[in-house]
Amino acid sequence: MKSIHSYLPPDPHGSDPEYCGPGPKPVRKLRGCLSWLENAFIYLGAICILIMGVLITASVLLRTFGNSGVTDEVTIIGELMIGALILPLAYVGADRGFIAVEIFTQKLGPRFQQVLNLLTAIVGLLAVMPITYAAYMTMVDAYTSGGYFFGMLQLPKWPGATAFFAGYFLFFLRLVDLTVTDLLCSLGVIKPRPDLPSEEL
Amino acid sequence: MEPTVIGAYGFVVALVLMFLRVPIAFVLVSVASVCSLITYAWRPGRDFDFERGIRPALSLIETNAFDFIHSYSLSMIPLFIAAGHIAYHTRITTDIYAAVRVWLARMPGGLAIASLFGCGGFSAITGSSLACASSMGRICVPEMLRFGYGKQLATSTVAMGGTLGSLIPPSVLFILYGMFTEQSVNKLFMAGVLPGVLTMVGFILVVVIWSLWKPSDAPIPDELRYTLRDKFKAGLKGWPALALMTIIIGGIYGGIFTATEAAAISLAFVIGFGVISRRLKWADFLSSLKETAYQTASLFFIAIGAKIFVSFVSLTGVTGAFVAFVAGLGLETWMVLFFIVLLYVGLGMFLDSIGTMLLTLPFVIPVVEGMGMDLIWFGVVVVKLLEIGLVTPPLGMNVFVINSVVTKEIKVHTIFFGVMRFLVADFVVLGLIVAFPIISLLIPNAMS
Repeated sequence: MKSIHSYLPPDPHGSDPEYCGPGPKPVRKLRGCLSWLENAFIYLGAICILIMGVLITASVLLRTFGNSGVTDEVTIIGELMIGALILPLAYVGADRGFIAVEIFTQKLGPRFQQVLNLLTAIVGLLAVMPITYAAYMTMVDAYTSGGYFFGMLQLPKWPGATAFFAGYFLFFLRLVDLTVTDLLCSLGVIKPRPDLPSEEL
Repeated sequence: MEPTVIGAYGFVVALVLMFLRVPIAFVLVSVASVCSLITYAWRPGRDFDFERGIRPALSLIETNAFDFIHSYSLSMIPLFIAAGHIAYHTRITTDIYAAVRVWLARMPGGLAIASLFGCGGFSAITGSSLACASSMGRICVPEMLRFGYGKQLATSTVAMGGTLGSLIPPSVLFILYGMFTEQSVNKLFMAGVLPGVLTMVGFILVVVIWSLWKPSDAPIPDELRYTLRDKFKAGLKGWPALALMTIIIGGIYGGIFTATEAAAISLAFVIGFGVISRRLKWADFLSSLKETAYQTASLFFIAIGAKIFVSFVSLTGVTGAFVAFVAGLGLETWMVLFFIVLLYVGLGMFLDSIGTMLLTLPFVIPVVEGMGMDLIWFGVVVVKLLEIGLVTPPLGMNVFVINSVVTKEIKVHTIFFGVMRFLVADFVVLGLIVAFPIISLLIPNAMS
């Protein structure tokens, strides 16, 4: 389900948004923090997937051999799904790994590609901004109301709501970075590396 | 402003942005968010009022984005994808080819048929046609070329074999179709089995006819001679893949577990096999999980976008207007189906399969449901059409991936010409599936 580029021979320079120039030191440090968080979040997402597998397998085994099951399994899996699906979004965004239709634009020149990159980043921001805001409202509501899921364990709602907001907020930050970088590239303030293929510029 | 007009504009803007290579997920979420806000804020006969629109629009976004993925049953997607990645690293997927190749080596087109089996098994287990084309393209194509196979046959076989995974369970397309049309994923998985087998038979027939018609394209290699002992030894190599398919298909068909549970058991099985056989390295395990998280997030962001987009479309009433329009045309059922086939084949040439499916379902399903068609059977038809879209020019993603992993002397058009012969079989199978719904419904109807 990744972009077709993931299966093509690797681009020696990758699609690192930082290619457009090193920038001042504080910006580079911030980007470093952002990358570190993205990496940490994608591994957290991976751990959530593994825990889901363990829980469901345990539930099947307990049902088959012990006539019991994992308490509140459905709720726990639902909460883990939030971690598994939302936390890695910023990493995917940084890698420009979302599926896009490239057939109509791949022959356009580098200048057009820069403008299209900028358009992508702006539309991305427009998409993620309302979800991030809605996620923030949900998280605040989960904390203030002390909401919980019905079930034996009465699990609180805040962990899932927090993961939901954290994942989207980091994704939003990455998209802001991409937008600024692509804007500066398309205005010619910073120069894209000359040896990149046109569609990656 | 009339909601239907906003809906129509939204759809057009979404298509334009998609063709400007804005990621499908971004397009769906942004267009649906902005247009929902406009729909709520700009009621017919009244002025635009931002305050009135923002709260319900945010509520619509939040409900669809959060509640949709807070789901037990959808967890089968990351679990199946993880099982596929780990199966790849433990070489379960590539062993299928190694096993079948020994048995079929002396048959006309034997290596190509073995590639079909290998690719079918690979893409079914990993759920990714592109990963199949990339990995098996590196294994099968060079080997076929080394034994004197024609370039068209060698490359197109692997490109087509990768598409088989869309129909054979577990298929991500079926899971998403089931979620968006509220159909049983278990039944959809079972409904895909016979059409998947039929497609495989069709492809094998193409290879056999091709090999008999032009023997120089598929010579029988003299050096590939195996004893019965070799064959049994090779056959044993394929047991993990066979066990995995039995767990998934047998477990669901027998009512032993649900599709979600089958996914978790598959993951446990491949990890267990990898650890016991010492084929699974820690680094591969970690990269498999990371790759799974990456793929799942990317896939689900589109699904979230589609969910919000579907809500927006139903909010504007465009779907109802479209259904009324189609009903007003007074078309026969077969004509509607014909247009649907044209729509999917056309879109499949330019859009990727998930995008095509999620973008069209809100419009197509009400029409199909209104005409009394079975949605399980229709799911098989849609997935079959999307499978065809993976290899049709000019996009045909599988073809481009194969082209990138084989020798530079093989051009894209060479592969496309080879694919055309297989497409004849694909359309014959599609015709059979459409004409005889029992092919799809036999197994799900017999399920316990």
